[in-house]
Amino acid sequence: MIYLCFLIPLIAIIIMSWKFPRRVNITERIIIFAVPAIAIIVAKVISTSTQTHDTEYWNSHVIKSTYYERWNEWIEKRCCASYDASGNCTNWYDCSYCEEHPAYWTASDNIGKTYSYTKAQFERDAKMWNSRKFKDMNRDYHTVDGDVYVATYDKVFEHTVPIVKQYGYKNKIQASKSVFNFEPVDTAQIRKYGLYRYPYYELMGIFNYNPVMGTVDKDVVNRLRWHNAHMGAVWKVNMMLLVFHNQPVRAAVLQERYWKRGNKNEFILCLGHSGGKIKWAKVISWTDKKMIMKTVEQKARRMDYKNLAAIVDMMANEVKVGQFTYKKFEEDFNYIRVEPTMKAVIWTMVITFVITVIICLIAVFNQFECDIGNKFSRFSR
Amino acid sequence: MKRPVLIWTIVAVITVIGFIYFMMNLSYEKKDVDYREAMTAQKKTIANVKDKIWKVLKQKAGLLDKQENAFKAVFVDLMSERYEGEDQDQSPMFKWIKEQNPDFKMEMYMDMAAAIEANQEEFMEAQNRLIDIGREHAKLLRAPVSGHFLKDKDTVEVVVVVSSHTKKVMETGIDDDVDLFGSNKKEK
Repeated sequence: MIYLCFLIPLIAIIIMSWKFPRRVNITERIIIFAVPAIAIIVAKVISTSTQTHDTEYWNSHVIKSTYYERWNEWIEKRCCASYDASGNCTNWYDCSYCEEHPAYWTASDNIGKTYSYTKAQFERDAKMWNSRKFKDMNRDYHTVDGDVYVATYDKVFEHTVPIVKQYGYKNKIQASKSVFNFEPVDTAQIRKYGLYRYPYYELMGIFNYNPVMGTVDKDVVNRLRWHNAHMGAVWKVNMMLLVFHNQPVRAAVLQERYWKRGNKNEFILCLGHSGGKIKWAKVISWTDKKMIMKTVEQKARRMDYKNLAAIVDMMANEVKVGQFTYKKFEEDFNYIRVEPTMKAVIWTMVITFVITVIICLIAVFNQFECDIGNKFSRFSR
Repeated sequence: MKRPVLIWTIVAVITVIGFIYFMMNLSYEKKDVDYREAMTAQKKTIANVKDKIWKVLKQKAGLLDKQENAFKAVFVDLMSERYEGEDQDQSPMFKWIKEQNPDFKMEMYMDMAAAIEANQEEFMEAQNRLIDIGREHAKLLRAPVSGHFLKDKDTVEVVVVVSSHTKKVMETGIDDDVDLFGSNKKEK
């Protein structure tokens, strides 16, 4: 549909050649077509990519925290005070100065990324891991010799410092009428079944996200964060736990619809709790490893609600043993064609029309005239 | 001088339009072929998944090849019964397998029940993918622009594997055979 916009510059070229044959030369005719054509293609790409853009969250954990001490260095420099007529310096003066390098802290994770850290975070890690290794940087300092202190992860599970980071991926399902897409859930259903809004990881910060909803048990939250952090690098999985209180299993079905089955790497365990017991369990995930989902559901149904941490451990273990794989959205759904929306097509038409008119006006009123007219003069009447 | 320039411009514009038309035709023809090929491949995937279901169940239930036909014959009936819940040792499937394989334990049954559900879901997803490719193909054939280029092409009929009961319901539009509480259940 959007390609019909190409007719606008083509029609414009014919009109211009008919009405102003001497004012529009060949180069201008090409420009009249080329510029709107580029605009149409750009509009199509923007429209389809915004429709299909989605975000997933990757987990990792800090393996090394580093504290770079403040230091300074003397920079020897000569500056020119005056120049001669040919631009050569005739008078030099000493403009050396002391350059200050403030202290800073960084954290490196197990997928090779480095993040900015605070002093408090470094001190916490160094104390928790009982590690603070001095490293002499052998700097050519001026008055302050700053070196480096490194704290290394002690490989104790409970001492894990998790990180969650956002990455983009192409999700054609959300932009299509595919049978894999989900109908929206209305607010009445959200309220009735106590459905959870998708967590705003960005607001929580990369070090403080919470993948558990429906319980505030710190131990459960931490255990799931630690498991995610350790398994994220290998399986790219993001596990979540949603606890529903006194709700039927339909709540989990609607939650799946509400979150459109989550992001491609998610493994979301929904637990239905009532009277101190787990009544139902449902896993929401795009994974092709259905056996993991069913095993987790089955085992969770038979576990004790009071020991949610054990359920989290069981889930992590099953995901690991079952060798979780995330859905390959781009390969599996590459057959889905995403077209620009009608709104985008209309806007593209308007923009193409405006661009075409502007270029036509410039072509008519500029100084360049038709350079092929003379070739055809012998045919003219 | 005015007319030849106009004529040449019109010729150039028609050439550009012709080129775009040719490329669009080529692109839609390719998409049509891609969808047909994807549907053929997906049908094979569905057959593989179906075949895998039996193999997994046979392995998990510890059944012999000679019991295959007997199992397949009762499988649909067994699946329609409850095979999971609080009284799992009373489930018809558990009892049937226990008769065939006395060593069959409840833990093995739990594992098998998870495998059944997982395979059913995998099978359903494979079927949904076929339906979805068929939907995209039908959309391509019927959409205003692509439909013009592919007007001589036929849609591919997507055959969905369903139980005879579902098929009957779909044909008649009547589903009054609901017996949730087992009041009409035969004595076993």
